[in-house]
Amino acid sequence: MSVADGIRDRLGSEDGPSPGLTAATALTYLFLYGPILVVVLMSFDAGRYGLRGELTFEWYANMAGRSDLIDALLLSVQIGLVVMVVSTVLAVVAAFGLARFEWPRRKGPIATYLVFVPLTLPIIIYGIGLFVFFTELGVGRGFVPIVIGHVMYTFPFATLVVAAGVIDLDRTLEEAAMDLGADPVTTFREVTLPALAPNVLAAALFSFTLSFDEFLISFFVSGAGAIPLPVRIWGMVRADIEPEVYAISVVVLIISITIAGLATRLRR
Amino acid sequence: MSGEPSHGRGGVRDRLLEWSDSEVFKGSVSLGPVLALLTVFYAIPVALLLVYSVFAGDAFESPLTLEHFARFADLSAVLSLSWGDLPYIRLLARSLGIAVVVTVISLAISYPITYYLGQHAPDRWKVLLVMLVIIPFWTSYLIRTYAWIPILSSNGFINSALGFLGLPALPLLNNYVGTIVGLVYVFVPFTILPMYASMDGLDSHLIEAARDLGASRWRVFREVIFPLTLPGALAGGLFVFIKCAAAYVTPALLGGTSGRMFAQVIETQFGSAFNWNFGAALSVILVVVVLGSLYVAVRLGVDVKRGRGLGGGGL
Repeated sequence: MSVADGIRDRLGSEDGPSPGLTAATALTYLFLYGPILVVVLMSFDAGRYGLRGELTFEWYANMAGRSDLIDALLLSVQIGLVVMVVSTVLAVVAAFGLARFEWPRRKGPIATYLVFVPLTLPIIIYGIGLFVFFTELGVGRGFVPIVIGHVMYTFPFATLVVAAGVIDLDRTLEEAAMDLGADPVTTFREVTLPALAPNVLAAALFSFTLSFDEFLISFFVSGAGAIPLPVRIWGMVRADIEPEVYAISVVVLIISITIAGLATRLRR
Repeated sequence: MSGEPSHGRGGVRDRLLEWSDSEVFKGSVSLGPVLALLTVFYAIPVALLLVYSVFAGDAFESPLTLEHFARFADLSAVLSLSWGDLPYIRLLARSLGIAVVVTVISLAISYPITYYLGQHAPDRWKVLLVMLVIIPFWTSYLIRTYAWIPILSSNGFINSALGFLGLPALPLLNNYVGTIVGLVYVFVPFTILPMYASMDGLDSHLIEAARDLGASRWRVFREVIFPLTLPGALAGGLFVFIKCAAAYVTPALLGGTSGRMFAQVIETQFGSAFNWNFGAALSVILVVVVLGSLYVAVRLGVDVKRGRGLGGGGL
């Protein structure tokens, strides 16, 4: 310990965190990432019923050969892309309605109805309600019910992300464009949208990853022909963990961590 | 900015533009479609459960009844306080109890990490460290939940380590321990993120001043940090509570019998028991509990908007 450290210690200066605090923080990160690392570890371990300590790529090879898993993965990507487009378009439109336009004057109840209630009501309740709704309509289960359910589920998040951008938008830029003779459509296309691009992109990425990982709504409205990956994984985990599930999970984690990381950066 | 002039494109476009420039037009065109979509595909499906809960069988085709709610809360059993005859109320009470425990543990975990991130984290690492908390929030909670099976099972990581040390194995999976651990894991970002916002905004001079005046670390926490971060903690805790009260995936994968929760019995009514009306009644009760908790919290002054500021999360 240097003299300076000694003096600081005697003075009781609080420059650095205490060792206990640093340790607690490190343990919390271990808690957050430990289980994710366990999935990665298990996907490369030869043990079928527990850790054996031998490296293998067998589960990845098996996974690649299992058409049920690959089909489910592709279906989830497909649903995610459709949901992403629809949800983002709706979110941009709704965000302007909520954050910009003067009419209706009282936005509170509308924001509660559009964003807050869907965010707080239990998702399982919505999944069951949607299942009953489409059964009553005679539509049953399948691709379209999943997409509709996911759009309703991702829309509030996407709207929040875009609305934050609309609120922060520097209106003087748009006014300047109008003063220079640009009409509203041109102004929107050339000035407003580019300024909003990071938020719109973040909203799109969030919508995709939320849909891609969504389980409960899909669980109730997916059917024989259309089983998205999370529902497939649920089936594998519920029965008796097949090690292939670790391999496909690593693929899912890589996709969603990459997208969530990008979206989080964009949103700042 | 290449604002092309639009003169001379004809009168129709100009007139349309002028008409579409009114605030009423813009407001209704931007909010109308989404309000309609949300009503048809969100509000009506949820309301349909309310309808089902008060019919004996098929909605609008069978007699109105309160029998499903009576099955949940048998009045004679309630009045005579015979809990044994009230399995659904006991299950709801246990679910809410688990939700309270998970909320308290999540808050306890959140204090040190958010204090570190808000007050001590080096600036160049801070963004990355906060991002590392947010990212799991946006990844599959199904995968993050089942990941605990190889950790908690009888021959899993923890029990292997205990066995290696010569200690007896602990029952951690397929009971309430599994449910609580899994729920804390999935929901702890809901408390970390709003509390981080409070800790980050906390003026460190207050802490230094308290220390200089001779306050112990514990006293600084109790009298400075705790009260100033309470709004964030309450908002985050509220969200953990309402999300846990309706948890399905975690108790179903990790909870066994003693960790069973209310949403599971709802799913059973639709999945295997085929009693939609009773399931709908239980759903209505769960929604009343969730919205009721929110209402009470808002009435008590909890700033619920903090709860969804940074995060969001696929839950």
